[in-house]
Amino acid sequence: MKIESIRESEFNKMEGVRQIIVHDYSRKFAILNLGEKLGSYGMSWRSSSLKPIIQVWSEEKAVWIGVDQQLACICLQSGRLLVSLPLTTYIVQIMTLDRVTAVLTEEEVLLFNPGGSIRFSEDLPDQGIGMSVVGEDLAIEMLDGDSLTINTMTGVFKSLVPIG
Amino acid sequence: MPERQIEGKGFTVKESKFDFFFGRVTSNTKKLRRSSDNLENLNLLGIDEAADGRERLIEIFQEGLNAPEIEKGRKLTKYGLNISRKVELSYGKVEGAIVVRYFYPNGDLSVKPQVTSIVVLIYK
Repeated sequence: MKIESIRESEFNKMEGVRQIIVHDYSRKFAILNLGEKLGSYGMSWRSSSLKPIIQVWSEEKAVWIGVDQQLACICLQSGRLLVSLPLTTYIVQIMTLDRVTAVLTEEEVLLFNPGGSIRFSEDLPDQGIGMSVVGEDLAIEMLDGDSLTINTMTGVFKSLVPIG
Repeated sequence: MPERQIEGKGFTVKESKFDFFFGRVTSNTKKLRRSSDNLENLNLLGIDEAADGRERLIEIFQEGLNAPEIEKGRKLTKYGLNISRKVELSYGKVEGAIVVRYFYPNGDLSVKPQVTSIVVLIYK
């Protein structure tokens, strides 16, 4: 599984259903090659120094792709698109955990069940800049130095004491 | 100690946001590549912090208050309302725009919004 840069003209020739991530004013174009059986999926994005986040969800046999303001998930057995979701702000991080995937954007955190349905979403009080696993919780770090935790099983959401 | 807020004409912006806009938030390079991407794209539009870039951004944030809204960016949260507005710009042969994201606490459009983020678009 690898990302290969392509020209815009090549991207435009791809069948629409194969263009799984498309942004206005894109400057970067690429395909994700999933092999002979599943073929390639196209993506376009704006940021010249950013590359798509590719996160394989081994236990669910799926792959998450996120770049700029769009998120997608493809089943690696059928090639079917499980999730295709435009977002209002940029994707910061994608983490696949035990039976759940967490996606952090600058404004919210989203948790997805196996199969791609949304388990939970929570708005952030400040710009999200990173997340990590702490036991059963996700710890979300924000630009203003505050952080909070979310239990991935119950959705219980707690603010923590400011860092530093 | 509360973070310093810059008071613009019709908006506020936290001091720390300029670190993000101008590429200085690099403590975790993998997750915060967008900060350096901001810097690169602002420079393409002629906005350089060393050459009054901060003042130029503040002008753009003010101008953006009356700029067209990008409707797909509107988001209501339990904290308030987020609205994106696009300010068209050009610098030499480079044409683009800055999408400014304004946050209205409690969804109250009569109060001064906070500028929470920017997206720099470079057209062809």
